[in-house]
Amino acid sequence: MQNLETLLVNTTFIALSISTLCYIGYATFKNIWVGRAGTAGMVVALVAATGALLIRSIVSGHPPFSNLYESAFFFAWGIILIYLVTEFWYKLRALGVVAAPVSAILIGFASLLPPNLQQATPLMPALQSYWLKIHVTIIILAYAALSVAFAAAILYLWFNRKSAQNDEKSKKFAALFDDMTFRVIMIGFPLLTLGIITGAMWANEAWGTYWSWDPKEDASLVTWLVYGGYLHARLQRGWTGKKTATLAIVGFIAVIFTYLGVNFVGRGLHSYGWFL
Amino acid sequence: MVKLNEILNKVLNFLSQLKLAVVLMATLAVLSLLGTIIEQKPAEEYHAKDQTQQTIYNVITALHLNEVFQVWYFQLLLLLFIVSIVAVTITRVIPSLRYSLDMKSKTLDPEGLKLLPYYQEIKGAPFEEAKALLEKKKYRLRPTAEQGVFVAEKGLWSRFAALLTHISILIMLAGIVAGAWFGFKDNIDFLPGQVSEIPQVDWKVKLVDFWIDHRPDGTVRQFNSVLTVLDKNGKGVLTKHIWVNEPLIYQGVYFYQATFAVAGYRAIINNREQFLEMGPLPTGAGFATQAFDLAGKKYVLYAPDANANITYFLELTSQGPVEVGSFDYNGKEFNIGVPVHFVEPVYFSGLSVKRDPGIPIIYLGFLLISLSISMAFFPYKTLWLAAAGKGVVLAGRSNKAKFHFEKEFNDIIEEVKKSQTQASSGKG
Repeated sequence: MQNLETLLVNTTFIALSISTLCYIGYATFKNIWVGRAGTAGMVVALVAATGALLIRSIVSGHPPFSNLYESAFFFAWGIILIYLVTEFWYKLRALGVVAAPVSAILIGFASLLPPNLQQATPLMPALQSYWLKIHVTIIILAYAALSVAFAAAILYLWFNRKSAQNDEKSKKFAALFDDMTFRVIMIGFPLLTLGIITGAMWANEAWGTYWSWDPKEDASLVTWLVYGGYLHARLQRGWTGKKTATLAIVGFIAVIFTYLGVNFVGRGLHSYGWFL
Repeated sequence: MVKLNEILNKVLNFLSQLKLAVVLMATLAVLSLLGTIIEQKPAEEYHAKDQTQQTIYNVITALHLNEVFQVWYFQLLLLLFIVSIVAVTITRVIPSLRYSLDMKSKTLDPEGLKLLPYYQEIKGAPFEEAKALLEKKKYRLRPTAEQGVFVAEKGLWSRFAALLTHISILIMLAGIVAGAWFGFKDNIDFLPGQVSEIPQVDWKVKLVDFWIDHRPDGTVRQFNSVLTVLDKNGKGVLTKHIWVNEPLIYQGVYFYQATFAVAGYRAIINNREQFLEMGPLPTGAGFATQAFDLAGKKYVLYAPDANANITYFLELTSQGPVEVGSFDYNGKEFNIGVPVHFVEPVYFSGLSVKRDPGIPIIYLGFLLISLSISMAFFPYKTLWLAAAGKGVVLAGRSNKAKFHFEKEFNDIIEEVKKSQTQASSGKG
């Protein structure tokens, strides 16, 4: 089982690396078959990563969220999934240039962690609950969607700059990525809300307080407020383009802070993360 | 009276400005961020190492950033935020929803249609077939007051999202207030065999047992307490084994396994069972017994941690403490002139006790906000179909998903054109 898991992890990493090259090749040479190869690589990566996560849960007897290795791997899995959804949705591969390498880097980062941090560790008493599956799955999917939105916002800014030279094609791409950023945030934001809510419900069941101003809670509140601001700016004020793209980037910084930064503070109930 | 209304309107308008809401949200976010970075603890617990650190601590405590979530200005901002949500719901959200529901706002004349983002004239296309097509595409078709102009809508329900989101935030806040007013929260620490009163109710709870489950590698698997509820006559009415994530619930009062600490060691000395009480050292460096005499010498038990994973058996000599031996939570036997068997550590069980009648209200808010925020994902799409001479005019707009709407609009145009050729070829 261990060997099979390693094989699947390696397959995921190689498939993502090939996809990265294909997407870059597609963006440069516009050959449809190169683009399709990129998509195929992402699908292979998704299947292999799903398999690796399943084996890990079966072997350790609990869902694969117990340490940084597992959460980083699961995060990459979420990005691949959400990316494929947007590709299918917008019939657009340009985002793959960012999504494929980012998930490859996440998996590479996870694999380079010291071996003792990679092992599936037994769960501490507070984490032994069915809420773990619900809460972490939702939160990681939210992070993944918001990361994809971040990538779309970056691409928007890139094409927006290019379109300044009156390039019609870039203008069209810029508008597409502007719309995509918004729509993917509209997936990520409800998931983030639901993730915070399930966290509160779990805390209420385990400790009797749904909110205790734990560092992770505070950081997730900040993130929620940033995206809440994004949606108000977009829906109420009709902001689009550069201003909302900037907000999406700020939101992503908040996501990364919530995911990793809080562990540097090193307190609270969510110390699953860093080298602690 | 007119004056009062005017003032009220002005205040409402001020409070419902988006700018104010954004400033409030940003300030709350920054303060929460500071509260995340700065360790939250009472000012007395800050011990500076040097002058610079002292200055930083002085600033932090002067601004109450060490207790930012309890400080008055944070709470005031929260209150203002709530008030602004109420105000914006009254002045913006509800009117905008009414506007979308109002048929008058959808009545556009042929000139008005031309101002919409998508507009197309299709000469010679049959009106009735275009109508049927829109209905087939699940659009809700209604005539407007303008002769020959129909409005077709999809996803109107998603317009309720904003109202529902604001209402659910208010419901959650109502739940928090209800909990603070009508609920209580307390902690109990007790030893197995002890009974604790709960001042808010007329029954008591007894700790029957507490133990820690370990894995083979020594890490903690679970903390367990067995509790019995005693009615006012002292009769047991309910016994439950609780652990972290599994509370006891009795008459709306929840008992959570919250904490524990070593309270002593069960020992058999000279074939007599004894309880050696341990308490926290004043230095905070661990837990120890008082000195006790065995065969003319003085001894203590010392555990560096509350879980007593390792306990040291020390002899107090004139040169200071000397280690006789150490053992884990499984205890150990010694013979120091007399047979001594340290059997197992005994722990306090620390429970969190609470009653919070606000929880169902808060959960209702959770449910509604999840629903309403998901609703906001769906676009509200409007199309207008008007008869124009021998053809039709199609116009439309969507508040979200502009790309997918553009594609859909063009598809509809294509299909209407197709139906036109079919109709004319059918005639021919």
